[in-house]
Amino acid sequence: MAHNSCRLRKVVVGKTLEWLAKACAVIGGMVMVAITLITTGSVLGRWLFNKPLLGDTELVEFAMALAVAAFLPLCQWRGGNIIVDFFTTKASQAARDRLDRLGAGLMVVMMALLAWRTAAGAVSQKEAGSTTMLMGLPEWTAFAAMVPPLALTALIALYSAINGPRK
Amino acid sequence: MDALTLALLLFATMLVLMAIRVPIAAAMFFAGLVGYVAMAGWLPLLNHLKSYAYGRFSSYDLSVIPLFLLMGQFATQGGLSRSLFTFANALLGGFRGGMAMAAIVACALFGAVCGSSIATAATIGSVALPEMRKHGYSGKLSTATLAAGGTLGIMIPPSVVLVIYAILAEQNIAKLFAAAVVPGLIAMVGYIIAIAIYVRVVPGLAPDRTAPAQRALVASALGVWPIAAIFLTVFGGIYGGVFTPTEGAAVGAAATFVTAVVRRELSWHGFIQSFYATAESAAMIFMIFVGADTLNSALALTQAPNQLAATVGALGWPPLAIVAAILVFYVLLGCVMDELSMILLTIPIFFPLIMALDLGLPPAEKAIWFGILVLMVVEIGLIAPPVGLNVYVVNGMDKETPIAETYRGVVPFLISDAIRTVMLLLFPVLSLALVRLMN
Repeated sequence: MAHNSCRLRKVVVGKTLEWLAKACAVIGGMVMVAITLITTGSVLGRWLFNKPLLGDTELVEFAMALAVAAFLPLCQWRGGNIIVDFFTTKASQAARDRLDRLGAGLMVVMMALLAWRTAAGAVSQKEAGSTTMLMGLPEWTAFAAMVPPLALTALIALYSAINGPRK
Repeated sequence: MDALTLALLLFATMLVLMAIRVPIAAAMFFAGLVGYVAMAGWLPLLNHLKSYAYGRFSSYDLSVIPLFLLMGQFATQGGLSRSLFTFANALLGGFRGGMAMAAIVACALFGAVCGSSIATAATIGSVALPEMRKHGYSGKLSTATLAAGGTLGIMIPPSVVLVIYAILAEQNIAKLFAAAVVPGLIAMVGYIIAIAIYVRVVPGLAPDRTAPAQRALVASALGVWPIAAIFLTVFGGIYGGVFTPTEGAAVGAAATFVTAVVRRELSWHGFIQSFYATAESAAMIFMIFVGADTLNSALALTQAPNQLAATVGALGWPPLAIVAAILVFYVLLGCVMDELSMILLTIPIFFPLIMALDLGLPPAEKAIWFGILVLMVVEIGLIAPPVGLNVYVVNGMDKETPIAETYRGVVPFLISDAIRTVMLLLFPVLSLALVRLMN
């Protein structure tokens, strides 16, 4: 009974993490579609009417940081990060699973460190009141928006470190 | 501890972590952290990391990569691959082994809108592989053709590898793309020649009597013109200085999306799938970038790359021999590592070395020429044993062919790769002619 409820919890947690990762990826994709539309509009405006969109470059940078951060959880969930399996092809499946859990554990540390420092960065940016040069976008908002997907990536890695690699 | 010892220690740490299946990005990241702390201490590190993720993810130069990935995904989901293969087959179907040649040409054409090798192999493979098998082509030739053809995806611009090289070596992306066009076409022709020889020397690979060429050449050409138009707009615009590479990629992604929608090939499901696939590849690349950048900033603190350049310079080898040795090193490293990690780790070390050599070329041209050579050799690792990623992907699509067969089938293409690389090494003009023409 206890075993069953434990498994159920694992499935629920896994499904939730997967849903969140996919939702993040769709948000990131939508942000990229917005980038393509804005950029295409800016290029056409410059070319046809000699009226460029002021600050489109920094808008791309700002938005792309969000999109890339939002892409990380799905990559982690699908095990998309490249590993070298050349030296462990002869090892047993159990040994490889143990190593993969160790690898996932290191990913937890890396992503948690980045999430923590980026959050600290957001605080510093807000205190400094720094904005982008042309459009005056407050930079701390981009920092802050990157923290949830970074933290989610750490959580997904933690899930793999505890439960082993997903097959 | 002196700087060189520390640098070697960092590399050793990274290699050990990699060998025990730690993701490459994390292996580089932690080796870099150790080095950074050893050189500068904890507090500077924690401060450095505050703007680390934002700084890397918001790079305007790098933003071209996710945009080109998205463009390639729209082309994949938009069913453009079938028209390309139909057209190429109408063109070449009459030759012996013609359908394999057509698959190569389709890969090259698809490579013009897609910057990834695996995506090209998988996309064209899903169309060409069943057709080739149905018409009596052996699994060995069919799978090997598509694994090799996929590498045209990164050789013909846009190319993720070249974008990364351009950023690391601080070179002009547009010029590197232009330099890759002629070598990419040479690669395509070389693969076609390899097929022509292979089917004549080894019996039973391709059907003896080939189907007569379809008369549908004109009709199928209609399906190809959108790709041609997008390619010309994107690269014409980039070379012509109408827009930056990032803007070109954005315009290309928008145009590919509109094409796919107008052709009524892009479903809502396909639209979401293209987000997922873009997310996975882009995140993988940016993670490697974050890891490599950490390690490289630690290595830069040790100044080991400069020391290495001085040491090699003192050897007194002929410059061309040093370049050749580096290329051989890439081929060997490519057996265990993926192409992006390889470039990210080694270019900061090798590039100053190359720039210090006297090869009779101006610095800007030397940088471009070397970039194209690196592109050619890292691509070999994608189809060579033991872990040719393209071979795995394409072989997985054909359940009847054992992987050893595909590896044997790839040999003629590898020979073609070797010949082309030597040509490009000895005749820099092949890479540089188009760049010079455009100045």
